[in-house]
Amino acid sequence: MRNRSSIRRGLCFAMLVCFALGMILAAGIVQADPSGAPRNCQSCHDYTLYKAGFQTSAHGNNTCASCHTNITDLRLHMTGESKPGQVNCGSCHRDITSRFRKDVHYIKQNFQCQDCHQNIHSIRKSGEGLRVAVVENCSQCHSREDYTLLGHSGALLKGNADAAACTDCHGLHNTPYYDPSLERDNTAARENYTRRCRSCHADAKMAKRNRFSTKTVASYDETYHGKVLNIGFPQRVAGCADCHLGHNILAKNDLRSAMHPVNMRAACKECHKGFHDRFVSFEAHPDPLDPKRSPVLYWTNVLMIALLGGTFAFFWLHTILWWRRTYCDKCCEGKAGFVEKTIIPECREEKQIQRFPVRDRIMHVLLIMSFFTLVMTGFPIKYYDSPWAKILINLWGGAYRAGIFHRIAALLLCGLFLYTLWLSLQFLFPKKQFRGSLQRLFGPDSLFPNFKDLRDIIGMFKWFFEKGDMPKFDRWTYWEKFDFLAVFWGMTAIGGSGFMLWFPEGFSYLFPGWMINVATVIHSEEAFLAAIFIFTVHFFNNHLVPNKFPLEPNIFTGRYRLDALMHERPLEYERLVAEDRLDAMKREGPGFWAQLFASVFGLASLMLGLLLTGLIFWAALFY
Amino acid sequence: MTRYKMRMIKLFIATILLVVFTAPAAGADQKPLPRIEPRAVVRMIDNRENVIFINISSPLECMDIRIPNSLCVACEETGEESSVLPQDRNARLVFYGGNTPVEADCGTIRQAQRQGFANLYILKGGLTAWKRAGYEVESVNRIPRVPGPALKPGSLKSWLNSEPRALIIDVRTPVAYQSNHIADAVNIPLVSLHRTYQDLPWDRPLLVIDADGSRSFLAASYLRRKGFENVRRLEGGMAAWQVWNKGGAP
Repeated sequence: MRNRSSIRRGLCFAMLVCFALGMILAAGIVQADPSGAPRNCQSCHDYTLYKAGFQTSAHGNNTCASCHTNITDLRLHMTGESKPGQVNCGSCHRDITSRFRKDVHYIKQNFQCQDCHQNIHSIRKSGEGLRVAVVENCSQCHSREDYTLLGHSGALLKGNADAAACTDCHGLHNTPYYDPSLERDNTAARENYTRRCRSCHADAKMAKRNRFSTKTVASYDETYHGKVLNIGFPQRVAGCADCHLGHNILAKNDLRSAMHPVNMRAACKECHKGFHDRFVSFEAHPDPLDPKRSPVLYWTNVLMIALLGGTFAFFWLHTILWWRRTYCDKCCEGKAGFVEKTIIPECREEKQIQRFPVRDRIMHVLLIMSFFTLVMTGFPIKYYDSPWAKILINLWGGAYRAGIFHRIAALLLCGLFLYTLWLSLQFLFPKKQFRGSLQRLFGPDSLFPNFKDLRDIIGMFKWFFEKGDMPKFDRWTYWEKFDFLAVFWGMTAIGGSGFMLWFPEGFSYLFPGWMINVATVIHSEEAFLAAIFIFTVHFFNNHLVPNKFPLEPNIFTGRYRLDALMHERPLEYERLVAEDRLDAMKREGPGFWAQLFASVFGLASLMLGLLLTGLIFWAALFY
Repeated sequence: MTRYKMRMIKLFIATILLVVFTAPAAGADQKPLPRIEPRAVVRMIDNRENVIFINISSPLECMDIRIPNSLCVACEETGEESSVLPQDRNARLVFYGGNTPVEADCGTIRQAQRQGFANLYILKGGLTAWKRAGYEVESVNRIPRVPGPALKPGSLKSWLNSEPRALIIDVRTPVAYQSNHIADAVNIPLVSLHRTYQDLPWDRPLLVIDADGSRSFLAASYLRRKGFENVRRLEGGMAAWQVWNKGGAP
């Protein structure tokens, strides 16, 4: 019995000892409190690294086992048989770990947390010093000369909190990886870095604090590069980092600077091939309002604004007065005017004359189609930041396809222009006869202005103010002649500048690079002039004037009513009668299909033009 | 004479036909392997097909990080490692590299072709694409990264002047090294660095150069971990060096 009880006591004692030992060991590794656990671990791991500042580090409230979770058998661990596995920082820093899986350091170099956070056992929250700490940390591996070249670094290291640290541009724990062989990656990189540059350089408050100009961004946005990038097609245009390569943002005359002409040429060559050296004088941040910086650009802008102002001032006044006069004739004074005579259904039964041959009608339809295509593909780029721009550009299938349509329409318009030029020469020199060309040029069948047009303008204004009768017109009125001749100026200006923008490298052999900036201003302003002139003045003069409203179809049907000829162009009528040519020109009224086409195509064009006018004014006034 | 001419013409036509019909046969051996997206490989695995990944990078890189359960058979080491290729000739072998593209003349692939493997693929985008797609990887013997300074190509000459005893180590393949290399550089391919690093001078500054700067970081970290204190790498590798030599940006 005694033996049995002593054995039992011995067993109990042994169990108690084992239990106590187990508790001590477990407490040391698994369940230790913050102050106890490090001491136990540090009885072996007594390196300075762990002692230095763990208690006061960012992780000081954790135990060793909080991170090194898989040490379950202390004996095996102490004998080296059980080694700790990899620390999973993501168990706490889940968000950072998730982002880091897309980081270039992980993707390309298999970095893990401790590779950058080498001082993980004494790491402290950086607080305000974070940005400097970031620079110090990154430049351990990345060549420091890169960053110190950059203007940002000097400011940051001097304590300017606004200056960009590495992570402001490249991201922290989510530095993106871009594969240079993939276009989508190049595009994403361009968008990303342009957005990041813009986030500071377009910030007015930051600009004021640091005495730099936000015009840098605003002026870039007004270039072809900026507009196309902003409309959502960064694939083929330069963003900030395409010219401001890497970190070498220095004075232009420094050979290390990306802006040095030698380096600029290299940067431009990434996209543009075969240009003359003077190509690099292109201003990527032009300011047409600064006469000192770009005098030619400034005066071009002034001239274009004067041209727009002068043209619209005259013709809008002309339009308003005309509308007032005819409206009063029609409504206030109860005069019949042309309306009842011209639009009445019976007119189909009346005799008509052939005013436009099939060739001219086809040319006008093609002109309308090319013009609308140019406006609808070009104006979304001009007003890239208006709400309708992206919608319209997406209707074409994106900016790239819109660009293709724009160029096709431009070529069609050029073809029409050259054909018109050929017809004009044939008119002036029929069968290569030079005799009498001057009479033909200033004659009644010519679209070239003469002194009678000047008298007609004066007469028309007198008529507007009821100081006289409406002038008697011949075959072409002065506003029709203006429409025709404006095309010659417009095609020279808008076509020439358009080709310069299309083939800037080739034109660099003729002009310096800054002429591309001039071409941009001319192309943009002239496009506005052409579109708004056609959609307001031309539409009113020919279709929306009360006695023709809603549509004058003769450019589509080719036929012109005899009574309209007598009233609107009495001199031509009298000439035709006197020359005995009238009977030969008489035709039946247009057929059903011609009328249907004229109504549908003509009215649709009118409505589309008016809609575009509204959109353009909306964008011009509010964006 | 006419008969002789006819005979010559027939001979000429026969030669042309021979060239035309034999050319594809000769080139059949060089037929490029199909490139397969990571997602498509995962689908194969989900369909329980026998897919075996083969990492053709150097052993250091492969053990540092690889697709789980990959075989490590570097292109240059097929003579020694060919026995590790699986027995099942119907297995789908997917070859991939880390930061190096799989070259058409990779010895591992040619070895597999000679051994009669029919289903060979190259992982499109390699390990980078696999990781970008968010799939898991494993590290068998990871080399802890050790921070160290890098040199820009524009600073190389001045650094060499200040460090006359420096040794330039070109870790590219012997073929790449022979085609062009920086003067006085020695060729120690990355594939054999783990065997040959002890031959390097411990007391001289080292500069590690690779093809494009993507592999030298690992090599430099490895050397630093092995005790070499003054190890630098050339940022951008030989590609950046050549651009700089042609007058490119620093």
